[in-house]
Amino acid sequence: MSTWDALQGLLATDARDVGCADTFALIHAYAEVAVRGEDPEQEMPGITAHLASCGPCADDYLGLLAVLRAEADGTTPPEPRRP
Amino acid sequence: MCDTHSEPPAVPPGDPVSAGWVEALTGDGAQREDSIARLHVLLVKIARSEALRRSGLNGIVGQELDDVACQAADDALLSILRRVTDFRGESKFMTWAYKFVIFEVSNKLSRHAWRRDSPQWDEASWELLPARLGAGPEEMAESRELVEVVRAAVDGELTVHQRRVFVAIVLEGMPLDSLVAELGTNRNAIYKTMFDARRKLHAHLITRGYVTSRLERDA
Repeated sequence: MSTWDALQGLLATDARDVGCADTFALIHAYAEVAVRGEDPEQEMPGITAHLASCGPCADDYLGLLAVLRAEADGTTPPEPRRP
Repeated sequence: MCDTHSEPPAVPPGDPVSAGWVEALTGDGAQREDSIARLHVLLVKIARSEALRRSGLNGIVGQELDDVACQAADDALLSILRRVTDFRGESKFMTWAYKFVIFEVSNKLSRHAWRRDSPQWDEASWELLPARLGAGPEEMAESRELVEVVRAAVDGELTVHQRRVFVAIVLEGMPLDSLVAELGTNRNAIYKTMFDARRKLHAHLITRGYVTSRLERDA
């Protein structure tokens, strides 16, 4: 890949990208869909577009996925019973 | 600021655990206090595991990392209690709650990891652009032209604020969340500024034939 191609990759934007605030507003729902093995892009393409472009939000998403998957595997404490 | 929410929080049907959390946290008395204490314990556990997951990336370890995790859990708890009536039941309650603590860990680690004085914006920074884009020494001539073209576009097309954000993130390699902390703003605002800057520069470089549009690439 040439330097110009790399520049193109840096500058290209996706019109579907919903930004950090709207991603944060629904990232919990997005993550649960992914953990169920379904494709969250079907319902929330704007979040998929954002995560492809925003490193900090993508890293937060990976953190949330790690928690949910660890919980599903039983490697973190389960939710307490109804308070 | 007044709380203008009039709708009660919603929980997914058939999810008594989430319903229990919402009911307890929006209630009062000893049950609420007990739920807050249980929630805090969970948030501390999640904050520690998330801080550990990120520890290799930022050089913060040991007691300092644990302090960051505990502060993140404390702040996440406050955010959750302030916003519990915003919960709309799109997920389990705890999944919704976890995102706050993940975000706080991310935010606090960024602030700790990037300590510096005022941004350095000089000739040397621009010379770093090809390396930031992965160029090798054999691409020296092409890189020189690229630096001239991009620098002219940044100077001519971007606002002062957009230039500052673009230079900090692209040339200086400053993490977005660290810039957020330095400028006292929020992640969405900096991302939007950067998004607009990228779009402007891309359009400018397309009209001058340096890069191609998405339509041309897909054709």
